[in-house]
Amino acid sequence: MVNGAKSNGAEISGIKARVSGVNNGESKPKTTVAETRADGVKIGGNDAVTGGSKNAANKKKINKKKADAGFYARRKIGYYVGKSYVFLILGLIYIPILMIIVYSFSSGRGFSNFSFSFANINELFTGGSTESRRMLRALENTLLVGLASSVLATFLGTLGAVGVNSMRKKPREFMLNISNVPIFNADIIIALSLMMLFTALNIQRSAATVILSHAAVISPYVLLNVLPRLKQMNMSVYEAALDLGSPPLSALVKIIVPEILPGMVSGFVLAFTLSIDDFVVTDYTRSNSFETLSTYIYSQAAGKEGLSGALKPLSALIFLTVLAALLVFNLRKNSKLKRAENK
Amino acid sequence: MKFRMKRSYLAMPYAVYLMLLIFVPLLFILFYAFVSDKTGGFTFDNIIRALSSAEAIGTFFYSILYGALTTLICFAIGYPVAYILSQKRFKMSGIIITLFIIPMWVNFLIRTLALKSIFYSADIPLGAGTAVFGMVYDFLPFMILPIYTSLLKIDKNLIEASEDLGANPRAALLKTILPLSAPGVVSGSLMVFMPSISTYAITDTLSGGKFRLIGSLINMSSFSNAGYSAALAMVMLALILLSMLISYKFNDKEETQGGGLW
Repeated sequence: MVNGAKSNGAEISGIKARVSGVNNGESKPKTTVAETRADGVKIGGNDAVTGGSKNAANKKKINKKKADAGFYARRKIGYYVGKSYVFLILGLIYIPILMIIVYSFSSGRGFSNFSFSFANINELFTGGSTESRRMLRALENTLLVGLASSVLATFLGTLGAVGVNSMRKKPREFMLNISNVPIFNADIIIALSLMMLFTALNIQRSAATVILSHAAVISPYVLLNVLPRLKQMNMSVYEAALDLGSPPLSALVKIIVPEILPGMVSGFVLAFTLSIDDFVVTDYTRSNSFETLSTYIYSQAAGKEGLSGALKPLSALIFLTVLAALLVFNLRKNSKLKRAENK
Repeated sequence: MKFRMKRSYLAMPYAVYLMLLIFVPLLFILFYAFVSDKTGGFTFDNIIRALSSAEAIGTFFYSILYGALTTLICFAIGYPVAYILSQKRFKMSGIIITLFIIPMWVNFLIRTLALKSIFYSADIPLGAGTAVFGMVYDFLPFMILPIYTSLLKIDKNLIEASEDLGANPRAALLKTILPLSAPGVVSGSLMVFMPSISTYAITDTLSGGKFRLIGSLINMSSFSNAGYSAALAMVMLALILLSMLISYKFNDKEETQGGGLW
C-alpha cells in the first residue's frame, strides 16, 4: 500500500523493516566469504588504494598483472566518482524535503518568493483558520484509522500466523497464497472492488468502512512478520503448558505471545505506516465528509502552487518526527548491541 | 475424551476476513463488468469497450510505454547507486541506504505536491515529462533496495573468478554481476512498473490532468461509468497476473540453475 507498490510483500516489509531495525528473516546482509578473508589476510600498502574491496589473494594477482600506477589511480578516481554520484542522487531526493522545511518559515503557498514569517507555523499550532482546522481534523482521522486498523490487523494477522504455522503443507501454502493477493494486487483494483462491495450491499461509507478496508489490506503484512518468529520458537513449550492443564487461550497468551512479540510489534509498526500512507483505498471507501491527511492533501493538489500554507510546517514536522524516531531507535539498538558485546 | 480446539483453526478469522474483504469484492468487480449501467441487465459492452475502444487501447498502450520508461529511468539511476553501495569499500552504505528509505515515510502526496511547488516556482510547464519525473522520484527506492539486496547476496568469489579468467571490469560487470543480480532487477522493476501504471494521484497532480494512465482512466470512469471501470480493472488484473507469472517463472529458473550463471 505504499502507493500501490506492493508487488512483493517480503520485499516491502524488508524495505521498511530494514530501517525500523526489524528482522523479518532476509533483510540482514550476510557477511560473505570474501569479506572475512579480506579482514583476515592483509597485504600492506594496497589497502588504502583499493579500499579493501577485493580479497587479499586477488589483490596479489592484480598486482602481478597490472603493476602500473595508472590502474590504481583510475580505481581511485572511479571510487570518488561513484561516491559523489550516490551523494548527488541522495541530495536530489532530499531537495524537495529541505524546501518544505525552509519554506515552512515563509508566508503563503508553495515555494515562490521567500518572505520570512511564522504565519504558517502559527496557523498550524493554533488552528486559526477553518482550513487549518480541517487539516488537523484530517490528521486526527489519519491517526485514528491507522491505530484502529493496525490493531485489528495485528489481532487477525497474529492469530492467522499461529494457525498457519501449525498447518500442513497444502493448506499452509493456500493461506500464504491468499495472503499474497492483497500484497500483489494494485491499490486501485482493491479500492474499486471494496467500493463496489459497499455499494452493492448498501453499506454507508464512513470511518468504519475505511478502517475495515485498511485492516484487510495490511493484515497479511502482520502475518508475514510474525511467521518467522513462530518458526524459530519451540512449540513443545506450548504443548507442555497444555499438558499441564493450561487452557489453550491462556497458553497462547502466556507462552506464544511473549515469544512472538517482536514480530507482532514490527508487524504493527509496518501496518500503521502502510495505513497512514495510503491514499487510494481510503479515497474509495470513505464518505465525503471523512477526510484523512492523504485525501486532504489530494484535495489541495489541484492548486497550481502545490503545497498550501499550513501543510508545509506540518509536513516538515512529520519528516523531523520520523527522523528523530529512527535516530533514537537506531542509537538504542546500537547501545544495546554494545552492552551485549561488553558482557 | 475432551474436545480440543485445533491450533490451525486460529487462522479462521484471518481467512474469513480476507475472503470477505479481498476476494468477494473481486467477484463484485467481475459481476459489475458484465452489468450495463443504463439498463442494469447483462451485457458484454463494458468488456468490449475496455478491450477495443480507441480510448482504452490508447491508454493501455501509453501506460505500458510510460511505465516502461519510468522503470528504465529508475533502473538507469538506481542500479549504479545500488552497485556502488554494495561494494565493500563503501563504508557507510548502511546509513546511506537508510537515508534513501526515510523519505518513504513522508506521505507520497506531500512529496508529490512539493515537486509541484518546485515546478511552479521554476516555471516548468506540467505535462508527461513532469509526471514521469514525479514517478521516478517517488518510486526510485523501490528499485534501489531489491537490487542492493541481491548484489549483497552475490558470492564475491564468482566475480573474482571471472576476473582471474581474464574478464576486464566491464565484462565482469556485464557478464557476471548483472546476470547474478537479475532477481533483484526483476522485483525492483515490478515494484516500479506496477504502481507507476496504476497510480492516478501522481500523474493527475504532476501532469495538470493532461496525461492519463490506466489508474487515472479507471478512477475517472468509476464515477460516471462503473461497469466500464470494472471491465478496465479486470483487464488490468489480467496484466498483473501475467507479470507475476513472468516474475515467478524467472525466479524459479534462477533457483534451479544454481546461481543463474551455468
